Amino acid sequence: MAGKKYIFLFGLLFALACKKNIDGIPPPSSYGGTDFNQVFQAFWSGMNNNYVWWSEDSVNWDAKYNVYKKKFAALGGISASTTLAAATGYLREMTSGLIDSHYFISFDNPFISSIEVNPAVERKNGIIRPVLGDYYFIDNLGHMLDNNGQWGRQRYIDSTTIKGRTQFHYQLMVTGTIGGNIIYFHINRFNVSRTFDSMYIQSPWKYFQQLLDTPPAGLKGMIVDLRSNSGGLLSDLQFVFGKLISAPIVFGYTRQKSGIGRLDYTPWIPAEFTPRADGKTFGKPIVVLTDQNTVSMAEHSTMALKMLPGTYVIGDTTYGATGPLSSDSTLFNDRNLQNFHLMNICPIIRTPW
Amino acid sequence: MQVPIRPRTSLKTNVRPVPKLYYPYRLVLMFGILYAAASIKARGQFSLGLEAGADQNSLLTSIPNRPQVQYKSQNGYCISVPLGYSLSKYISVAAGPGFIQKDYMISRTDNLASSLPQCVRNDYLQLPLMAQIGYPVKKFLLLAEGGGFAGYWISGHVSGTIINMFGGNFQGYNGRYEFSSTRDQRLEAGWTVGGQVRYLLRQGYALYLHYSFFQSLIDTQKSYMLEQVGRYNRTESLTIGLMYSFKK
Repeated sequence: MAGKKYIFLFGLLFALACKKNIDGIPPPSSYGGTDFNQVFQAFWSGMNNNYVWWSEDSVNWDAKYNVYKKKFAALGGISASTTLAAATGYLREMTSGLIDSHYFISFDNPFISSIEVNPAVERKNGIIRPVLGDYYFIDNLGHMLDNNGQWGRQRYIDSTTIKGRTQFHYQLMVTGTIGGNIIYFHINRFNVSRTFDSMYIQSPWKYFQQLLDTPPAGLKGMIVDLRSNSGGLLSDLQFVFGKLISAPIVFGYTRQKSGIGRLDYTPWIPAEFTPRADGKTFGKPIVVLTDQNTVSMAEHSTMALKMLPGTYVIGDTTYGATGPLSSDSTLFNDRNLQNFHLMNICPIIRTPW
Repeated sequence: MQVPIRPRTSLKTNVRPVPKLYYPYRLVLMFGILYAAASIKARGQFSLGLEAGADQNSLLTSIPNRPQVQYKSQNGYCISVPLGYSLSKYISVAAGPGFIQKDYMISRTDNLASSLPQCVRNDYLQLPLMAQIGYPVKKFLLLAEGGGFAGYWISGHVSGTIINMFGGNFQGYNGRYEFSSTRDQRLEAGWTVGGQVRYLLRQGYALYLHYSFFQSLIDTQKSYMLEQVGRYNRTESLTIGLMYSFKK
């Protein structure tokens, strides 16, 4: 019958729809490390699929592939320290224009473990002023506080691996009052939600909490000194400053990588400054002090505090490292979707320290 | 335009291939159409209908470099206005302009699977063009169909949950998908096969159940980067409809 014949024909059409495969990209960890071809492919692909700044970064990563694949291939096997040094030079060239100020490459190989590739540091080297040391906040500034204030220094709060070595950060906190009616608070690294009850930090921390819970009579305002603050734990925003607000405040937007394509992102999602359970509206002017070494979480804190009425940012432009966040997969923009990672936070009164 | 570079085959990886496209479809389809056309005895009867139902879409891709992430199929709905024209007792051609959702979900495979999903709803206008072969059985008409389709991605919607970095809590989001002229390929085309069971009512009306399978042959992304991994919609739909055949 003709009908059966046609049904057979369509069945054949369906059956002959033969398949081929979509090849995925192997994870960087699956490449062997025996020659520079593999090193290059792992690095290039890993960046290609995971670097969170491709929507903003002008580096032509495809062009880097075409140029540096050949250069790495010419290096051959991983053996001599000279080829290792050459490879690190290529990596430095490939990444020199990346805008991610958190980005750096360190090396495990003992021949090159002292080398670090850090585009932002190399870009800012010699341009920004040095970090203000402990002596400035404890000795110079501390003496200006009523009764010299209270300070504490907690060692080994967290660490980063730089130049092949793990460096442990410490935390300095200074709390006091000025003239009996202005609260002063300085912190050089955020990790307070983990260290607040340590014997080193608890004294200035408890004093800060006491000043917020029971403000001095005739309180005029508060100075939050985030100069030379290298950033740290994001959840400290709520823990340290959540007492100053009574309701969540949207102070920016985040978005995450949602796929392996360079332009795969979630939508921009509001970033909230959330109050603590005992939070209440501070209601007094706040001055946030910044300098060129106000970095990352210190910049987020500045942006969040700027949302409070009567907050003024005074000092120098900040470092410009407001993203990525959390496992390098999240971008952050301010409330106007401006990216301060690129522009830095500009104070209302600019006073270089 | 960049040419996608395939990873070097000499590297040992744990990549598992995923079924993708259907290669000699053009040859087979052309052969089928020619064969059917040779048997035409003109009948020239138009039919018009309305059908609606549910669909399930999968995004065909491969992400071995995201071991804790997977793409999962999602359900949507579709509605169309089928048009038919019978060429012979057994053969007819049909078109089915309509609206169809091609949704998918990105979820994790670890212990955050239930907490951090992302659902992507994609709305398409779609036009399938098909040849149909009928086989009458009493008051039923069994139809097999095959052909091609073209579509246009008109809108999208993204919802999900992320971790609020500044508070540590989960935070939901729900909003319109923002198209990117660099990234998104909004035109789609591919092949389709399907089948219908029609119950012939009186006075030219027929009630029917319709299954369709759509395989896009066009990536949902433009070619904008090296080592780009394709993403292709594969959609199955099950609809019910009412068809009216106009008298000659």
